[in-house]
Amino acid sequence: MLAYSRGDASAFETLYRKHKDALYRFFLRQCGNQALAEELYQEVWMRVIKARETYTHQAKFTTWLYHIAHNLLIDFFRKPLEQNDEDTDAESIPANASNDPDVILSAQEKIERFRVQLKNLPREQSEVFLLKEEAGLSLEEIAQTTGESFETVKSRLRYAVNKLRLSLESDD
Amino acid sequence: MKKTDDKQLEDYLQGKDGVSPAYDQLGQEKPPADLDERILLAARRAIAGQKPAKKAIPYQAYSIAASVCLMVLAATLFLQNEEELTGADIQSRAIPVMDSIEESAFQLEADFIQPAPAAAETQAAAPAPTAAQAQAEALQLESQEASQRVVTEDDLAAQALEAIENANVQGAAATGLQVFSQEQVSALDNAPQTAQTTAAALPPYRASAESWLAEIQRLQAIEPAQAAEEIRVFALEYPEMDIEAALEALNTALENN
Repeated sequence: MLAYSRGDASAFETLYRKHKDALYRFFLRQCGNQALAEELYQEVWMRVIKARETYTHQAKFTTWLYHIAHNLLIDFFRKPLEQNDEDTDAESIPANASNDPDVILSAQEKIERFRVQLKNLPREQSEVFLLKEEAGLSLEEIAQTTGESFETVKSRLRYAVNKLRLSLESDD
Repeated sequence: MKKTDDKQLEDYLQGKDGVSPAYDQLGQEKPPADLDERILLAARRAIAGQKPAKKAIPYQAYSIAASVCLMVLAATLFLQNEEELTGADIQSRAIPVMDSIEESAFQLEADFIQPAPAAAETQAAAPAPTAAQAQAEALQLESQEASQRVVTEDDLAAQALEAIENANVQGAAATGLQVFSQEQVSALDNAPQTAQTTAAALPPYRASAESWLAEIQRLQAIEPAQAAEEIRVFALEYPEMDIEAALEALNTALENN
């Protein structure tokens, strides 16, 4: 990032290609809408480009990048609900699987259930889980990114993991 | 319950449960390619519009430049001082060499000097021939025998000393004409500190017997050889004086004080 701030365009491209997929899925998993995810995703990188002149290496770049993403998500979720037009087409709960406990869930259905459960997690819990899975941050780094305490982060992650694990258990 | 929850969380963090693998199966979605291009283009345009960043000059370059400047400055000052010293130094160390012109002048000067009486006595009580006369005789003889010889500084000094010793100078300012040539005077000035008693170059301590003895006493402690030379010349000046007794008296007076 420092190299990019000094005018090295290839340095930015290196950073971008390293983090772009994980950051994109971070937004996609939480927004449930591809267009919205792309919009937030692009906004993050525009802010990174704009911040090149004042960037100082005070934290790991990943932590700094997802801190920007976190702030954008907060701003997004503060908006009135009618503006958050979530497309549930891809994230709808399979009716058969959720309503028939006697059905042995196939692997694919388990994954779908998992996906829905992830989407239905409270925003704070899903964010912590995704920062762990996509960004690869530690609990301490997640706390730094979100501005929360270590114990709060740990608690949220515990709840998220438990719920997701339950979604994977097949019901006989 | 809490312990079970912590255990389950620990298993998850260590990758021992199925949550992470299940998440990986959700898919590896990627941003569209055109979105990538838009972002990269924006990044390139952002730095294209800014002034080229000044390439940081390593601190080593600054230190090297400073060292070079200091070295140049030191060399310049050294060379300037060297020139000043060299010019004056050469002058002071110039060895007068008698060439034909100087030799002629020397001869004329020697001829001008009144010749000493033929019977120059060396008795201690009797009035001795003047230093000028003795020197004139010596110089004339020397000029006849070595007219083309290159006279070194040491030779001139030796001539003067020999003339002094043979003349039995009284110590007072000699009358008459100047005895030595300019080269001999310079040689005497540069010669080692031996007896240089001449009318024009009398050391201050030889102004009186007392001061001379005091100087001899001083030299005996630090320069015995020079003290011996002074004693010899003193004896020529004051042949009637018992030098040893005088020095012993001085030592006794010093001890009492």
